[in-house]
Amino acid sequence: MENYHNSSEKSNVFKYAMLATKISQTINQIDMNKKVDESGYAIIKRGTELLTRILEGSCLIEKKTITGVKPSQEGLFVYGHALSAFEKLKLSMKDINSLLYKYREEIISLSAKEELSKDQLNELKRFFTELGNLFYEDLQQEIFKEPKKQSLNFCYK
Amino acid sequence: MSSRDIIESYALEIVSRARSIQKRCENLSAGYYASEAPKDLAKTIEYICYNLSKAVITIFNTTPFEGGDDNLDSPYLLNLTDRLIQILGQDVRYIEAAKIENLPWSIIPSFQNLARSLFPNFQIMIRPEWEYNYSVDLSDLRTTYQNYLTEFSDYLPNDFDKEISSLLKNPFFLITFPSLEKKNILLHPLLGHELGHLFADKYLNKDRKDKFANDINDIIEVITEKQLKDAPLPEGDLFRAPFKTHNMELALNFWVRGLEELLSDIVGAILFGPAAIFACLELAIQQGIDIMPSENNSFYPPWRMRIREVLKIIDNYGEGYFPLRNSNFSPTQRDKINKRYENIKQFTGTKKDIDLLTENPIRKIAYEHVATHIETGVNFLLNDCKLKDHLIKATVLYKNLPHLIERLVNDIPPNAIENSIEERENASLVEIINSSWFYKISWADVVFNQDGNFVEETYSKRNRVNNLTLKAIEYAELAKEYDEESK
Repeated sequence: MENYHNSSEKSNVFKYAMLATKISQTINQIDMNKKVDESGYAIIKRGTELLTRILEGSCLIEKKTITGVKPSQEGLFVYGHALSAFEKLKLSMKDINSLLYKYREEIISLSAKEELSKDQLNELKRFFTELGNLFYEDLQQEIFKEPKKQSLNFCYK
Repeated sequence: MSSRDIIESYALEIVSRARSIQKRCENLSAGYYASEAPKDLAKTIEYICYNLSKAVITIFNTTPFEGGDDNLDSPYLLNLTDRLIQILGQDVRYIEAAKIENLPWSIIPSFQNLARSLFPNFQIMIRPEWEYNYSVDLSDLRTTYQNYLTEFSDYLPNDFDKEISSLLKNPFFLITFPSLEKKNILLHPLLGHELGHLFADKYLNKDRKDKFANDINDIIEVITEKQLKDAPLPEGDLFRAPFKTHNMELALNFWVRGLEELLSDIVGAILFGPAAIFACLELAIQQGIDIMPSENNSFYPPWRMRIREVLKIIDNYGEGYFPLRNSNFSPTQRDKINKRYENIKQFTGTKKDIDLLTENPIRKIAYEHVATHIETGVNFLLNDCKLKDHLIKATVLYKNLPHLIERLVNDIPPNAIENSIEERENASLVEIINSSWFYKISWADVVFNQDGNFVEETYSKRNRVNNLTLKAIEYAELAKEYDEESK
């Protein structure tokens, strides 16, 4: 599947790559008991928005209902990336929706400066690191992509 | 050398890249352009690069250098900043291409006026590119840049991104045409199609897309289950969700891209009348009329379907364009144009494209939904987008066309209707382009003589028509401006 069709979608991929990386770095700081300032917690809070977007796609595909989440095709792109992250991390694909919901609840707690266990922090960190990598790979693909075939190069939008 | 040293050296290169783009934009801001849009864009990119080079310093100073000297994993945020600078560097090509010598500049003001009448609050920049491609980027570049910069707010002073709104005061869109066709004015009605994308995008809002996704959810599940059954995989659960997601995205692409193109074609026909269908046909012949939409061709619907929908608009709303009966046209012109119309009608009457579309179950379901949206889409365009006011009727267009064609026959640019010195009327962009199309169709089939040799005179005549048309558009625009200023 083509990664994005226009520059707006590309800017979203960029934004998500940057956000996921920053979330993973901030969680790492919390995990190492380093001081995290308010801007760090604001970054974590933005993670809730990203997870909600992923859940919108998940609820559509899995036909699930979650309070405050409206199933939407807009979440499909990031949900697809979340699935790839699960695959890379060798996590179970049995109940993805519940796992994503759990992540969102944990991120909400973390942004409210509540404590999470080492295991929870570690799992979240691994998920966001992998997600960031996948978005980053999307951006890099543009550099390394093969030249288009002549016949396909002939498009009219 | 430690990993920190290597990354420090990398930061130097990122800053240098940003400054190099800044310098380039500064120079380009002093260039000559047909509108202010390229200069505004140059200043915006220059400003962003200036800020990004400052962000690099903050990011470097907050980068955790952990894991010893062999760890080069840490500069992800620097990598991303670098990538954004590279993307901005690529965008500079839009400004370079928009230099006055690269554009069919005589038509730019006239096209800009058309765009302004449709989208008074948008800034639209036209640029040629070497790739053979007519396109519009549906993203407003101003919003896109602000979106890119969202996550830099942690590294830059507050409100730094607000300056972008003062540099680019309005939503900013880019329309691209193939450099090769710079002088082929007869293909430029396709720019009307590109403007159409901005309307089609309004139609394809979140609610409509969500509704489509919900409506097809069950059938996509059935299709996915069947695919998994037909190709049994060791762990079904592992593949079910990714498969269904892929299929859903595929269906959305078929549906969205299908409607985007068809509705944009319809806008082209509303704005340019018969010239739009002749220009579409010319492009269709180049590309093949029954190429099925797929990931490989950005999901373009088949040309046979596209031209069929354009023809419906011409027939249903043009109030008697075809067959051409107006006695002010010469019998040869009438015969040739009617013959072209009949050919189009005949090949769009065949449903080969529709049969082929049904061969893929996802494509089939998506295009069944496309069909149900066309009528609603046309109503949306005519009424909600007020394109009804731009609809050209046959009686209006045909009033002046024979006179303008007569001018072309005599190698005079068709820029005005001049029956006498006192009785003078400027021709519109639509009248000029249609007169040239009608004229060209009436003689351009004599390309090879009876001995099979290429008729050079036809080639010269074709170029002459293009030049006369370009001149006519320029003269008409100048006269219009002069009239307005003399009032």
